[in-house]
Amino acid sequence: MTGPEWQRLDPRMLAISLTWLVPPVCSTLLTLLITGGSLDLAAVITLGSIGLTFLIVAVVFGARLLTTRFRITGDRVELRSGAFVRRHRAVPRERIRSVDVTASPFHRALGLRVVRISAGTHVAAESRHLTLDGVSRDGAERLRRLLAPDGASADTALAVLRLRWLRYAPLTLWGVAGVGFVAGGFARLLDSLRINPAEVGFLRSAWSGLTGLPLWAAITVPVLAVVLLGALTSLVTFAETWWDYRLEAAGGDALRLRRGLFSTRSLWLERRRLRGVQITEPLPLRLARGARLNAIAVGLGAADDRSTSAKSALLPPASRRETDRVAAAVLREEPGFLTGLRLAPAPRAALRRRVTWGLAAVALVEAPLVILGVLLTEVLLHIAWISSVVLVPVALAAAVDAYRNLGSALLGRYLVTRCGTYGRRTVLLDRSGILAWSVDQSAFQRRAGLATLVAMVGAGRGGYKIRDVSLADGLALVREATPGAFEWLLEPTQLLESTQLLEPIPDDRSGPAGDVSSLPGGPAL
Amino acid sequence: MLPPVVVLAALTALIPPARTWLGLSLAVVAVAGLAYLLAMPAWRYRVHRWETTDDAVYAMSGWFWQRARIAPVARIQTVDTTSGPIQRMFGLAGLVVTTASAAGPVRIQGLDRRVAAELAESLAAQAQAVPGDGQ
Repeated sequence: MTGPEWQRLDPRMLAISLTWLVPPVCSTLLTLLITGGSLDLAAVITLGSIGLTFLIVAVVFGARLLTTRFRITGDRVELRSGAFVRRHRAVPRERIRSVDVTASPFHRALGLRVVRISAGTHVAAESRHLTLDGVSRDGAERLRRLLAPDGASADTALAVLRLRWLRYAPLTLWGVAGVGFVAGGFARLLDSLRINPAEVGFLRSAWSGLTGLPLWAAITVPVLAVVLLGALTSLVTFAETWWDYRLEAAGGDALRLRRGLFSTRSLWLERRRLRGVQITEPLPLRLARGARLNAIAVGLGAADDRSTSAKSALLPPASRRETDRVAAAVLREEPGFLTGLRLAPAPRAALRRRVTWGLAAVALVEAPLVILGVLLTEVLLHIAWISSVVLVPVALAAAVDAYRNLGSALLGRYLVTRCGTYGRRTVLLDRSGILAWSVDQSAFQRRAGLATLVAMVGAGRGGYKIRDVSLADGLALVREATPGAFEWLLEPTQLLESTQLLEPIPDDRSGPAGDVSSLPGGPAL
Repeated sequence: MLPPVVVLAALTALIPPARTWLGLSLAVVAVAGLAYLLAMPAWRYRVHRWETTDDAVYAMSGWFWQRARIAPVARIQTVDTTSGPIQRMFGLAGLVVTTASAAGPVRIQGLDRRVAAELAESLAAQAQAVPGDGQ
């Protein structure tokens, strides 16, 4: 082998492998603290097996560390690792899509960084991501500059952290879920250590305090406590994730994002990899006029399409106006690009479908109650009708909301599609990035003359749906969004005749579903 | 379709106390399976069709849920033929045309094996002749 020398990871990483021993030590100390120093056999076995597992993990981690070598040649990055099974992976440098530098708190304390090199889908799956876990801080910066050539011109900030965004943080619900998660984990731990919760001092005093209160307070106090704890968790998570957030244009053709308190992350995104953006408004955020903004870019991975994915997030949860502004800036459009966005509504048949789904869902919930009520006891019947009084309006409201959120349009270079009720998603797709189209129809959709169009792109989720458009409008939209490529196959007459996409084909060609003679000129922009 | 019917039939024969309930579910599964067997293949066969031109590949599949997929030749990344043991028994093969999208390839199933091979070859040649590889 010729070329540059193979390099090792930083030896300080051995200290990091010791951090795998922190959880078992902590759990042992916690158990000793709770039980007051006496351990029975079950606890010893549980703690011992936890400790052994983590010890093995630490040893494997350390061995891998010592055997890992990497080098950067003129045209590729190579990584060799593994004590028992040798792996050799290489990524061509021209295929590198992004170079992210991250650091856990332990890494930071030791002045180390993790460099994650991602390549596009052209590269074999196993070498799509190379991670150099444990490079010195200067080394990481050198690698990043070397592999992702930095735009030399002055950077301009598109967005920096604003404190007023903090008020959207508690609306993301993950905090409340997190409290449940931690409480559940704690209860399981106590259970596996054979500790009765009633014998733990502070839990018992909390319980006796609660039972001493009147009933309404005994219910509201824990709920309030959970909500408050959840909000607090959300705030802490927000601070950890978005501290020192800064999104800037690096040169003319790339974006750089930096954020994080304990573990800093930086994302390098070339604009030619960008296929669009997704604006998500979960219901609590939507009520507060807030939204999330995520990038749809090649090389970020399919899982990062989710609006909760921190990796593709371009902005913390922020006001809708701010999201629109940053989205326009990221796409290099005029500042007012997204204000007053008007989408072509879906046909009424889409509303009928949604109302049917809503009522069917309610029926599905009620059916067991009614059947059991008839067979066993009348109480269940009462529960059924009382709950349906609540559930039916909720289902109808959700259906109407889902229908009103449906829409599609062409906006400059972009195809815009929106759907969803709890989490309303607005997706802007670069029309030149659309690789293929799919026209999906269920039997019910065919009867109603509707279709779900899927624009396929090489980024994010891979396919983005335009749900329940009328077939004729949808095909017109396809032809207008991607002129040329799909022209002749999507001549509506040809598609209908050659494939019987609509059945039955109306003979007089004037029925509402197969009305091709009076095609509208595409949806309103 | 066969495994659940066989399992349920065996259980019905072997466990006398639960015979009513098992027999009932056997009847339901068998009737649904029979209807599926009678309706699905013909329906599917009527729906499935494909076409290739100099510019694009087009395939339609499904039965209750139908799906028409169109990919321009310029965006094709790979062209593969597949055929499982049962397909081989009948001299059939499928064609899988992928683009850079993760949302799934264009699939043409149940082609004559020779047609599939020829089609794969000509599509691959076409895709190479056209500049651009889907990115």
